[in-house]
Amino acid sequence: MRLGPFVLRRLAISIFVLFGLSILIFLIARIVPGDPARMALGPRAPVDVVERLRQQMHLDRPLLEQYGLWLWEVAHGNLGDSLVTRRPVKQDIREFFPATLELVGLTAIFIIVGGISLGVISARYANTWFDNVVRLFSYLGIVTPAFAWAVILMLLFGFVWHIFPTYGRLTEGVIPPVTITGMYTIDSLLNGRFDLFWDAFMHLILPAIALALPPMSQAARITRSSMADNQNKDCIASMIAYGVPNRVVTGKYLLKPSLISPITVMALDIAATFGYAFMVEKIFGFPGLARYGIQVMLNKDVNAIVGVVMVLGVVFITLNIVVDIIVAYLDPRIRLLGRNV
Amino acid sequence: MSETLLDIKNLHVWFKVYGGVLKVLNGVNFNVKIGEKVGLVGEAGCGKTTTMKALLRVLPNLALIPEGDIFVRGKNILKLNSRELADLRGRGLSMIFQDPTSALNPVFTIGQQLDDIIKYSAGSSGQKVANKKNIALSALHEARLPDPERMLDSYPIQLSGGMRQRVCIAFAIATARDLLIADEPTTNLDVTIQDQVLRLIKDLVEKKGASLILITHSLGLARETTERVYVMYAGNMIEMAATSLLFKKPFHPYTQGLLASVPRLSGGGFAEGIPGRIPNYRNPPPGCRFAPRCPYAFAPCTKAMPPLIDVDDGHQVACYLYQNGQEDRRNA
Ligand SMILES: Nc1ncnc2c1ncn2[C@@H]1O[C@H](COP(=O)(O)OP(=O)(O)O)[C@@H](O)[C@H]1O
Ligand SMILES: [Mg+2]
Repeated sequence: MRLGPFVLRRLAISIFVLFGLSILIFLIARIVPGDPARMALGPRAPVDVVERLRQQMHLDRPLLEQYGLWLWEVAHGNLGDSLVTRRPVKQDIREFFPATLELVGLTAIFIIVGGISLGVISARYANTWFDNVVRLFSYLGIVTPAFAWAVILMLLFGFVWHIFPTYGRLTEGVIPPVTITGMYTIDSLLNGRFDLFWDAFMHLILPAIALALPPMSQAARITRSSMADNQNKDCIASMIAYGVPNRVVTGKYLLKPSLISPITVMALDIAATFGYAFMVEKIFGFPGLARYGIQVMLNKDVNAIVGVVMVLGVVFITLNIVVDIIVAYLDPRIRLLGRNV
Repeated sequence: MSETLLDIKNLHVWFKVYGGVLKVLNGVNFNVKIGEKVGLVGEAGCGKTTTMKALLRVLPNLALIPEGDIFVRGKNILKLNSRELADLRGRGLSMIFQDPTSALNPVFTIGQQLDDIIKYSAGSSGQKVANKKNIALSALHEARLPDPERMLDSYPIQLSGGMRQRVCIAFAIATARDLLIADEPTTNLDVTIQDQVLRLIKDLVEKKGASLILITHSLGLARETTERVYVMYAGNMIEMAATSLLFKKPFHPYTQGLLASVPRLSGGGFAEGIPGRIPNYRNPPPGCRFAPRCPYAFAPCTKAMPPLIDVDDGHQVACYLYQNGQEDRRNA
């Protein structure tokens, strides 16, 4: 498998997928009951004002025509205006998406590093007290949803012990760094403002841990069982019998084949975090895309709904391509035989 | 030609499984002298591979050894600390596993795997192997693999079964070894290449003066290749003799059954001649484990496992038919 053609093919397919997704969400956003214009203007707005807004948003036209108009706008780089924030959806996304991106980025680091290392150590010390403790906490981690962790962590580390801040992206009153990427941690580093970096970073930790705990626990379990399955294979016994030291056998010959399934699962979990982070973002007053997404959905803010879902679609597709490349790199059976790609 | 290389004494191996224990090895006694070629025959599931894994100390986590000793050059390897064990492994034993597909790591190239095997084969003395690549190339060449340079960059999946098996043999060639264990090296291969692979193994041990344990389904193979044969049944060595002697005059009813049933060409279960199956290891018969299938079983057989006794010069049998100087009870 050559990387270039593979990525190109996947990108081509992705365009069709995004196209389909846009039709689907466009229709769903309009078919669900409720009048967006009425909801935006409130119950006491005069009928003719509501009607004018409906016309302004083309909501009085047939669906097909609406979609065509929307596509025309998208082709010109517009996603329409949000009825909730009264700003262009594009501008909202530009503000909220980087916030969620840095939050999920840190979450992903916790999931990957924590999940793999806990899984590897548990497999290495299988059936010892360490393994049992990790197993117990993994089950706890899996069954307790992220928002529950958010509340617990906030109470413990924010209010009982004042270690971490519990609200927003920066301390109240602090002026954000000059926008480059929109991610405060990165922008403050690019501006050379380490004090700001630290402030933004500390604000990410609790929500990131809350989001990471369930998928990390899952990843640890999968890594452990994948290692345990491979541990008893003849190829591992053969290496040990030939005198290859344990650390090399475990860290190289056992780890590489065992990472394939956890990586696939982790990638899906990380992609899903973009969407289900809304509770945690809400609890920590974190102005992210997930929170924005829920807000616009509850208000039937049609343009914003479609915009948010399209961004999530792009995130999913990108992560899928990345994970396919990683798996193909890890597993020559896929790379050489082109299986599953 | 007489110094003992390997001596397994009264080895028991159990597997902890869900809801119980499989008592697989039931007091195995087995030895190999330096430079000797020994055969190990017995039907599938009787514990041949388990015995070898115990000897290499690569049993799965859920296995335990409640009793028994394994001496390699007089050292009890079950009592070695991890340093001594690493040292022994670096120079001592090698095994060609039953299934060449699972014996090679699918996500590393042959070259990567050979490299580490050669690197650590010098033992924990830490001496560096200067020319790992040359050693690897000549080992692949000696194992009759075409285009060794390209082989180094190949993944196991790119090779045929016969080539994989030869790669496994190349692993053994690349490292200086006292003992080569070949676990059914030809069972999974085409009839046409079985001979080549067997000849390679024979050449390898003869050239290095190493010992060989050849595990096989095929009695014919054991007859061609080995000097002495052990017959294993359900976790016990039930007969041992010089190869020619065993084929001439088998004592144990199980061995007699094996020899009577015509061995199939490509291996596989050869015990069709003996009705019944290997006992369940969860609740094995209390006495001789073969008793339930034995046409000559009598009272003592269900009480305790018969010990291995000499019935001839260098010919041992574990069977009550021949205990107490009693000749063949079958005629009584
Ligand atoms: N990893 C394992 N877990 C549980 N039982 C095992 C395991 N390996 C072997 N056994 C048991 O040991 C018996 C003997 O297996 P094995 O040594 O592979 O036989 P052979 O090599 O003679 O065909 C099997 O029938 C099985 O019941
Ligand atoms: Mg076997």
